[in-house]
Amino acid sequence: MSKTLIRRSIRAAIVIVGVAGLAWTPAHAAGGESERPAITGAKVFLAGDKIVSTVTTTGLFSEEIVGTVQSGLPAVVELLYSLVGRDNKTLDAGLHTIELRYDVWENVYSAERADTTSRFSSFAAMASAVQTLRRVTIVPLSALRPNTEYAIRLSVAIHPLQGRGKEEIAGWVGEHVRSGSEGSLREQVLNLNDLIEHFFARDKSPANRSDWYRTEFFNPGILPTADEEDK
Amino acid sequence: MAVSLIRCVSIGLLLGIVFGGSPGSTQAAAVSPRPLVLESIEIAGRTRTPERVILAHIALSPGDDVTVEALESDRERLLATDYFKKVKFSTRPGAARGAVVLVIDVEERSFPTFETGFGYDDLHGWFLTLLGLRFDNAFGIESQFRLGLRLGFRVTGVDAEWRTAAPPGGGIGLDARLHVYNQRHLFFGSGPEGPTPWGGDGWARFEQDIARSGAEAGLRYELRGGTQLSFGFQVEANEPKGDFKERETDDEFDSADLPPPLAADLEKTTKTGVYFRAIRDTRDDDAYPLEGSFARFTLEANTTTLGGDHIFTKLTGDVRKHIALGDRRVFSSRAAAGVLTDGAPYYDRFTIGGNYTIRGFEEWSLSSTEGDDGFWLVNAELRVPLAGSSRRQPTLTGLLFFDAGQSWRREEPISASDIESALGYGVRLRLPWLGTLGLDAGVPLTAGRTGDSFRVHLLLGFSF
Repeated sequence: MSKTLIRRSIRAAIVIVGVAGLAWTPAHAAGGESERPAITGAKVFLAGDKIVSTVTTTGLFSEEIVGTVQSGLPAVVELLYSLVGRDNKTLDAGLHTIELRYDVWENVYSAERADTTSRFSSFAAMASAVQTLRRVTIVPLSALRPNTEYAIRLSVAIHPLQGRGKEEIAGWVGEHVRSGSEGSLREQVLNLNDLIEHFFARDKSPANRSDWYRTEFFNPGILPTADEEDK
Repeated sequence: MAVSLIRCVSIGLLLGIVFGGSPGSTQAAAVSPRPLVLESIEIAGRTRTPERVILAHIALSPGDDVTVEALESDRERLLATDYFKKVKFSTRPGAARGAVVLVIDVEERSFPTFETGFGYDDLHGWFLTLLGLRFDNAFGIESQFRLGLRLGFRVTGVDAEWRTAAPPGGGIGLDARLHVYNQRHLFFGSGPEGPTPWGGDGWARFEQDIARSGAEAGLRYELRGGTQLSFGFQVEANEPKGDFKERETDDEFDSADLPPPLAADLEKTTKTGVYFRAIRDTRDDDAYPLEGSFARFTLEANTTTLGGDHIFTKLTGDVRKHIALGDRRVFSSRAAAGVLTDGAPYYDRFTIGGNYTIRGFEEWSLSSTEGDDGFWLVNAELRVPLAGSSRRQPTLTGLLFFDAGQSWRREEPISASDIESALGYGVRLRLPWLGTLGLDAGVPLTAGRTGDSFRVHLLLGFSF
């Protein structure tokens, strides 16, 4: 085989791989990201009598999320967390939500948590604030044993319009009711396709939810304080 | 003594359910001073479902005010069709400030869908669907085909059904059904043994197999406001087996021992005729109605003109009313009745008693051995949430009920002294995997025929 033929083959392979790569790369829309949400880091602090965490995320703002918020309707960020021990058993779990809104008439963006609402003059400012979720309360310090090690598992998701909760599970079950000459029939039906897919699908995470991220194990007695985070 | 104790406990539980506290529900409504307006709708992801089908199932249209609640309601409507595995709604800004473009992204179900389940049928009792097949929206026609292999205490066989949807605004749909199964028919009587076969005072339960296969096809006309009219043809071949057995003792008997009215109908016969059904449903919810009513009337006319062996007409009616009492407490009531003309085989006659008719008595035990030519029922139920406040239907609901009714043969006089009634209480538990399961305990107020003093029933959903 001549060197020319080898070079041509390599060039052709590079072109094919390049074209395939371009085709596979998700299109980037104006103002939007296209990758899945991900948690890139999380630090644990002590704030007063609570254990808090500052969570850094990426990939929250897809084209559909940006479009939904820009049109004046909300999007909801959900941060799921669970506290685990060294044996990986879940000791506590919870959900924090942040509703992102844009007032199209006043041109003001807002991020509403359960207890606070922050306002922003631009989408970029709001997105920046939401990508780093600061001081999310995880658990009261009094609920933890001293000299015991814990870690926090975290996952972040974002939904256009409103949070989704457990809709995937609800979709497996249906009800069938029929009225006939001989009476009526009622039946509870379990969709086996959805069930099998749930248990055996390679990628179980929905496109709008991140994989689980676990912090380093920490001892609640020797945690840095939130003030140290600000320094 | 034991019966008295049970009755006392029952009354205590009834009072507890009525006067017990129930979790309240709160709803917060967001008020937007200036509404957003829908400019247009874009649909993505469909491969075989026409756009008009998707648009027909959503209430929003260009020019309407857009709220999260309206969008979510439309998303749920699309999911409820079962045509789609996923339905995602998002929006983007329209041309003018405050204008919104709705983007509907659907993922159609690949077919067939395999399913399994369990249910309750008025005729066959509890059954398990070992394996079901479903084809939703095949070829983009709004239709659903279901085929189920059923196994139950009183039924084994295959049931298939094909339905096309009527347009949401009203119109015509098609219905077709095919069934092939072995039904275990129940009848009660004193038994073939003793000095007066089938003429004694005892009331034991017997079971006899009947091979039934049939089909029906018809048109369904759906009107706005929950009204549905159906008309069609039906044919069914029935072949009762001569052998039967007593349930309690497992003693087996042959056709010579059958009660005379049943022995007279042992031949394989065919039933052909037409049916007409009218349904009006204004309930605010199927699973846990707080308000509204439901009415169903069915007329079935069988004739030999179409090649059948029987001439008889059967008319049944069922009317239900739900009244909200606040805090998701509901008073629900039902009245049902039916009559049929002479000429019906015994396995097509009316039977009452048990689940969904008069609780507190054994299933079908309140009718005569060969079935009856008429019946009426009244049911009253007070439903009270006991736990679970986050959803419309509480996780746990307690109820008090009163059931009464009677059934009769044409040749026998109808007497008020034959009215059977029962009082009782129960619970309904809403489970994420199993739907709503119920347990009702009924205390007969009349003697009945089997001498029951207390009976517990397992139910799927509410009794009515």
